[in-house]
Amino acid sequence: MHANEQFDAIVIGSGITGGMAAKELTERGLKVLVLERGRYIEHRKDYLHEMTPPWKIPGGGARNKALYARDYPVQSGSYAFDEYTRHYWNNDRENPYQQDEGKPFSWKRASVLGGKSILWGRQSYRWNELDFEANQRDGHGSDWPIRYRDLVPWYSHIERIVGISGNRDGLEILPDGEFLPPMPFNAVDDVFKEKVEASFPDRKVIIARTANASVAIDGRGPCQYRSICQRGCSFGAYFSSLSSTLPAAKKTGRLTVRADSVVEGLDYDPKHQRISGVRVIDAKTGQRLRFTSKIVFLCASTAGSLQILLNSRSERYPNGLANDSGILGHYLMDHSSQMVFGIFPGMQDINPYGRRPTSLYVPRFRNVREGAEPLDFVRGYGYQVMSLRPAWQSAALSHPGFGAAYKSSILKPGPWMVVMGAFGECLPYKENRVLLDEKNPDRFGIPQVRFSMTWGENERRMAEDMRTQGRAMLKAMGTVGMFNSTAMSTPGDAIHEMGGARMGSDPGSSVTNVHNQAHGIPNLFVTDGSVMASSSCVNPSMTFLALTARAADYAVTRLKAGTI
Amino acid sequence: MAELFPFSQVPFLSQGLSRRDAMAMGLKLLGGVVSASVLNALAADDAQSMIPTRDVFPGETREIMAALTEIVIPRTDTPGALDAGVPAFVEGIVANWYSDEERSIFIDGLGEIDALCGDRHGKKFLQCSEAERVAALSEMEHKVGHHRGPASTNPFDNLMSADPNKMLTPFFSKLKELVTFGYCSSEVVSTQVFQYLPLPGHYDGHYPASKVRNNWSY
Repeated sequence: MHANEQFDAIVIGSGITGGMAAKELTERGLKVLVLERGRYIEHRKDYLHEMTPPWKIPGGGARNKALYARDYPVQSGSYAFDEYTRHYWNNDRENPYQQDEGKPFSWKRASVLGGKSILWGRQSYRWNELDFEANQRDGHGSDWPIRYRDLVPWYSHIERIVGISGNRDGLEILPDGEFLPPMPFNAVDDVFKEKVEASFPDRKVIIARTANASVAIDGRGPCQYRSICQRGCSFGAYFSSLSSTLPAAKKTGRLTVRADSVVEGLDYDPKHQRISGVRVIDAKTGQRLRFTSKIVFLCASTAGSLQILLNSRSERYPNGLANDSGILGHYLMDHSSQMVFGIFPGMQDINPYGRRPTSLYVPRFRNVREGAEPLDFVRGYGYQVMSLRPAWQSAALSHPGFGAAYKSSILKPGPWMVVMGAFGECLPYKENRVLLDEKNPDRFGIPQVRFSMTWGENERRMAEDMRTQGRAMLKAMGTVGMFNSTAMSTPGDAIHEMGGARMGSDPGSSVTNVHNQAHGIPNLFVTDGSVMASSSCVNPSMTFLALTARAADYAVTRLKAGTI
Repeated sequence: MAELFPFSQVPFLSQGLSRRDAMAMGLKLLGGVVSASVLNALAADDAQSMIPTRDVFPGETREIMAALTEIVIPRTDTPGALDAGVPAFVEGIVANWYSDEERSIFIDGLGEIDALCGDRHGKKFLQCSEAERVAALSEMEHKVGHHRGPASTNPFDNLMSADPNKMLTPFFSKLKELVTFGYCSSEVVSTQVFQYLPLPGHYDGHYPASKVRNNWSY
């Protein structure tokens, strides 16, 4: 990269939205610089432990707890964190953040190019009409400036890029998309679907829609059914910035990627009312750099983008960039979650071949129909449902003793377990927020992120229903020995954080407009989770991607028209 | 980017497929693209995954530990803990991963079982017969049942739990857990006792358990 190289666009962040922004902008002819705070890694080459067998991974799959307690107390709480994937995660000791007293927030972050798109859970859903109308209907939060129909072509556009395996189920509550063939059910899934749909006419059980290529797409895949996606997949079978969007952007010859680039803030030019530069600290050398471009796409993750905006202060914007409304950082959301599981005593003669990298899904059935029996909460939730036969790790749990009898007990698969995990929509509350902690700068001298978030009464009531209905469905299928979570989950744990720079028509109560453009700053676009005005209950990445692609199209059109 | 892979033409049944064959097939499927991970998996070096960074077993405790691993998982018609190299696995974790407190519990436990043999039989553990050793370990297990506090008899509270309070499980739980992990993740058990399936290629959710050797390993 030359010192004074000029770019049409700078994309801050290389995760799921940054990668898509880079692809869409370069393919429309723009010269793009992607800045990533984590280290540089390459598809395939740097998937260090993808194919490491169990006897070569230190500890045989066990957890190095003393190390995790010291360096990864937050990240190690993720299902996707282990010795096979640790090298992708943020080191908590080196990258601390603050939480308000008594309000824990679990901030999961990757530390590599591609961000959390390397590690994500891949469940891929469209929002529905109800989701975009919810704030207006029940008065929580502010109305979205768009409706489902505005995103339909963009959902289709990004679904063709992502490659989503799923069935066209024809459900209004979970609109169909451009799907690759669905993954198959297993024997216990069959029972769950049959019993639940027979006992609960308002509920549907479908195969989850997942960003795994069930057939080859654009040179990626097909899926090998290893279900070790988070280690990185050399087959490119799951969608990530590394496997899909960054290579596509690179192919245009107009992409520059700079890793180890921590964005400190954006410079604002009050005369022209534009972003005039992006201030960067090199994470390795500490060197300060400044890059300029015609437009900026902020895709640094919800809290990451809010940190950058809040830290970009000027005479014009003393409380953070684009913060005339005073709500920058406010209305933070994440999905609340509950878990219910039971042991299914049948199907002992089945032991599936291969590992399917996804689950079943029970789409939202609460507060869906007009005139239905009123509940004590608004909005709804959906379940991911996993049926599996645990291997020795769990089989051994129930076997006391030692010696030959113990040995033979751990060599056979355990009984089937059915695990239901619910994600519930979280209302936007003004007091839930991300702010800067001026007293605690990070290792780059940037004020640390401080989270202040708790669940409200609606989330608590909904969680109770998630447990009750989960147990009822497991009972209907005939599981025994049921267990369910009892406490509320920790905000952040779903890794679906959203809000803080919400979209809206009114500059007095929102940060970004209908095109993801910062109010009053036409060359700044924010297209990650921070722009969300509500949270739906479905996994959010497809909506982030659709918004990103839509904003990129708009930005390029306006740029070419000379109106940015 | 690689070309589309001709998966429909590839026989994926991995019954009897060795790890090296599977990896070589994976390499072929990837169009010869060499990644660190494939190289790592293909490497001739099948050495221990963890080399102990210090000597933490004083006196006879290393020998006692090794004998105990075989008592927890003995050789039957399938390999035992010693065949699977479990003592080296245990030593790696106790030396490199355990906190000082956990290590003390484990090493003290080895001393305790030695002392127990002295009390019951007037002999060192290593001088005891197989039956006497088994009785001593049973007594240690029995003590776990009376244990109160953060620990439990759950053998995986320690290595798998995210809860740091679970690090202080008693000696017997630690031993059983370490041996089970070391055994089940070893090469000989992964590939000869279980049916190793690193590249399934497809999913069959109705596959008969009777066609699987014990269970799958991945």
